Amino acid sequence: MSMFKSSDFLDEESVQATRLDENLNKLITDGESDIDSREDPELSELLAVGEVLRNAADDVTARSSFKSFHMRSRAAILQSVGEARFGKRVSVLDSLRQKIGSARSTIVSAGAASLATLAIVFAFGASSDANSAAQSLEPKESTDLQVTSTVSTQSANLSQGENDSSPATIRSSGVIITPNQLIESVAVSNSGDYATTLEGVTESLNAIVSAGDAVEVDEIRQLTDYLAQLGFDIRLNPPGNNNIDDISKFQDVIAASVVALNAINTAEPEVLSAVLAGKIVAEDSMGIATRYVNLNLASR
Amino acid sequence: MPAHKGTSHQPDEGSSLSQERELVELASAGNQRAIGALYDIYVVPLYRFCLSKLSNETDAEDLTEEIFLKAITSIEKFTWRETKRKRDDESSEFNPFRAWLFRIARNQIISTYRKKETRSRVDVHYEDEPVWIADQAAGPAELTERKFLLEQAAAAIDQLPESQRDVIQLRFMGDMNVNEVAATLGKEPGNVRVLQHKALKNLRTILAGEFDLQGVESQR
Repeated sequence: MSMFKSSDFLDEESVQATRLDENLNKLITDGESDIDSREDPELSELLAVGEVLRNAADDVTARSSFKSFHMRSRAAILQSVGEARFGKRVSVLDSLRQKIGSARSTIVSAGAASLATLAIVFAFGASSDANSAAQSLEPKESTDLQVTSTVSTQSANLSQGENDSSPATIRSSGVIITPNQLIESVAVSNSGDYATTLEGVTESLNAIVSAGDAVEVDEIRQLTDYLAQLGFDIRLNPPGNNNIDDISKFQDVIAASVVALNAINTAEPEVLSAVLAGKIVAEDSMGIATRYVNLNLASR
Repeated sequence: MPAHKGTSHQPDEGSSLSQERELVELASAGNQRAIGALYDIYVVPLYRFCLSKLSNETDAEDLTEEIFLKAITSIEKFTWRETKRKRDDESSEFNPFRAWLFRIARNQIISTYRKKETRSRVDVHYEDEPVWIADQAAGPAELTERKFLLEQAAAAIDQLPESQRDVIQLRFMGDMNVNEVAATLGKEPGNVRVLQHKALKNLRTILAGEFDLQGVESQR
């Protein structure tokens, strides 16, 4: 009885095929092959064909249209996955809500229900009165841009830091951004269904602002992922009147994200694509949040 | 989080295999970051593979997204198992997720083919984007040559027998090694190597009239 199984038997073609594959692996990995065309012209020609195919494959995805598709489809996939996942969660929550629905109070104080006032303030210098700045949207001729995001002083959850007239500033690309106190207050005060996502957004946002121009694509994409999830958190598990403050905080943190994304100064196409995708997703999530705020105001 | 890989995942990326396994497990638990990272890894080979099978970019884009979504929504069914039978070449990494994903891709494409049987095959066109926009570093002449190269390569692959075509498309467009191609197609790695060998010989004949293969060799 033969000591070899039939599958172990290596005929001449198998030997050549194995040698070709080994050299293809080397060609693909190292970009070169040890084969001398004078020594083995047959193998050398087959490797040349492999190289033609490899180059053709590489060219397909080197196009800018592919990069654009990548970013668009990534956002769409994450939204779809989020929708499916949160759809399941909502159905469970709905049954719980039905049980406790009658017992829920719908008392919403005017203060707690007040809209977060988003103020994007363009002004010289680092000091600005937050309340007055909240009313203005006047671009000034300056390369230093101070952006302050404040929650209305009517809000019951306002911390002292939010009213600080000289908030800590974060520099990024020559731009001063001061949404950090707001971000911290949102992250600390929120403990509801959205806490995890909000925490993700704020962490990502802080990472981006800290990195400045050295921000990496993955950091931007992470923020985009969380922003997408936030939009679907709101849409599929709306907080309703009782928690309208949450939505206001969402608006604040989304706006802060847009500001941080705008502050990224880079010529890297991949980073620019990621920033663009981030802003598109942020706008989408902002639209969802705003819709709920308006609906709740109208029903009050 | 692994960076987006637009190039081959050949044996030197062995260390990334365990990272990818972790990503798959996280994605299975619904982690959005992991899902995004997996997409970044696979969008390139999936898209290339779809484009090599279908006739135009729009279809390839739609299908790439569709396939990945289908895989992610059923990722709970996937178990990371290295099948010993398929791994006759220990020097090559075997990524079971890649093989699983491309089995889904292949089935989905077959299903799409059935719906679009009347489509012309050799019709890879890119009129949406002028070639000179694609790469600022290359001149119009080089870009035109590349476009020609791509179309000719696609046309040549189309002329192969189906079994050889499958191997070439998975190996070069799907960025797979022989073990993974074998697992995707349900064949032995040895058979895949032989099919690859035959396919490249056939392509050499087909492409000989179009390309200076000696020139390609001399550039290496």
